[in-house]
Amino acid sequence: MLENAGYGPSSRRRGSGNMFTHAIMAVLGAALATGLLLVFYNPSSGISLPGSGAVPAPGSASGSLTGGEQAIVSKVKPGLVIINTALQYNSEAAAGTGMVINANGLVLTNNHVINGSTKIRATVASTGTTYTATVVGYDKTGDIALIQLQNASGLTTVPIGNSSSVKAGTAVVALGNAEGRGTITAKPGQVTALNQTITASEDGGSTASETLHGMIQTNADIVPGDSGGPLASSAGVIGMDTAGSEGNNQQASTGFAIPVNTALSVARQIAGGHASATITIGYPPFVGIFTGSGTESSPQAQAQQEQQQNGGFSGGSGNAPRCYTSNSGLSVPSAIAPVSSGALVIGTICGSPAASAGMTGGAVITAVNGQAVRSPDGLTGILSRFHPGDTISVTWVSPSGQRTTSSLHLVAGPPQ
Amino acid sequence: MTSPTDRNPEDEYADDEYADHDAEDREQPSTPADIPDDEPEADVLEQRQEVPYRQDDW
Repeated sequence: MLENAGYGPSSRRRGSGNMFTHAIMAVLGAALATGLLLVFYNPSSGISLPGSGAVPAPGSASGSLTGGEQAIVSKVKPGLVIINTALQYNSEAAAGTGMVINANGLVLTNNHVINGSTKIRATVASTGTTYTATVVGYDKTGDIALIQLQNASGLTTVPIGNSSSVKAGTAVVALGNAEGRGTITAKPGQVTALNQTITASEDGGSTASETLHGMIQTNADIVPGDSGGPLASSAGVIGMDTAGSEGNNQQASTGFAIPVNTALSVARQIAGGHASATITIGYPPFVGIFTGSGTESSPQAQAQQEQQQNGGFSGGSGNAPRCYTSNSGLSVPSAIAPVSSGALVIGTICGSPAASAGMTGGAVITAVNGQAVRSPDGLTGILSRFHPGDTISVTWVSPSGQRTTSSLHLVAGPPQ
Repeated sequence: MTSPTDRNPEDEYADDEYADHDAEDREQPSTPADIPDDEPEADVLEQRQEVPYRQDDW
């Protein structure tokens, strides 16, 4: 079945994209783990924010801070970067925050800040210098990522505190690129609870939600764009701003931060190149296809599920492009390969290994390296064992019924 | 009626001088803040800001 669980209605959802896009987003959630597929985000609508090219120079922190709070800001802010990402295949961009943890440009941030990105830029908040960044690695489960600013040196790092010694009531300041405005804003508050478990979803509700444990809870107002920024006390950074729920008349806003000890422990594993079931080093392998998720074996049923989630919309016959540059215009193919089992390809990314091999929407992948593919999830599982640079043998059946086996050279794809 | 065989030998201590008869009258400690909360917070969102995509910017 196609997955759409975990995306209950949210008062803070802003995106409204078309039904098809919405369905695809949910569908792809599980399969994205391998980097085989692409995350789709709801393009935000009605938000008038400057593009990344119009990002102004870093500004000062918010007013109304006490002397102690201002002292925290002064210590931490020079080590912050404003992160902007392009999600080319989704026709979307996003913004977040990062913490410099190494003078040569190693930056700690959330995985959800960089996932799906095809390009990353980071601007040092204190100098305005902008760097291109590459992904060192990421922990999808822990929502932690490490990126490297290219050709950086002599950067100021954030002062690191000890999250193990934090107590409820500790005065803190949450800093970040609030609302993606390109300036660092500081919000004062207190630690209100420790060791919290949360289930956080993306604003706009596209990918699967994540459950995070051991979180620091705060009443400092953490807002979109703050992700990856510091929650800091007088002792230094104690957490990484990650999630929040909006307050209302009856209830104050609640923010959540990953304890810095946890984040740095994962960052050390990443920097050391230690991949695991949850940690990916570098970029994931990329085939370049849009497909669904789930264990449904029938390609026809997979298409039906897609259409149901898209309000019955179908791409029609014969007019679908051979490949796509993004999810824009992507539709469920009406002509589907005449096979009973496999993973339905909804479309391919132009220039990707799949498109270069001649695969098109409506094809059904039936085997990889001789191993039968029986569903989208099955394909995901098989491909998760490979890496960029590997060559795999893929067998698929075209919509006209022609069976083809080709060698595909996997390239690096967007982090997921 | 409870037969002798149904009686838990531990209960012998429940009625004697080891019993803490004042326990209910004492103030109970409040729940420490660092006890894990297994109930996930509702409507918690990741705090990445999505912005309009302009290909020329990239």
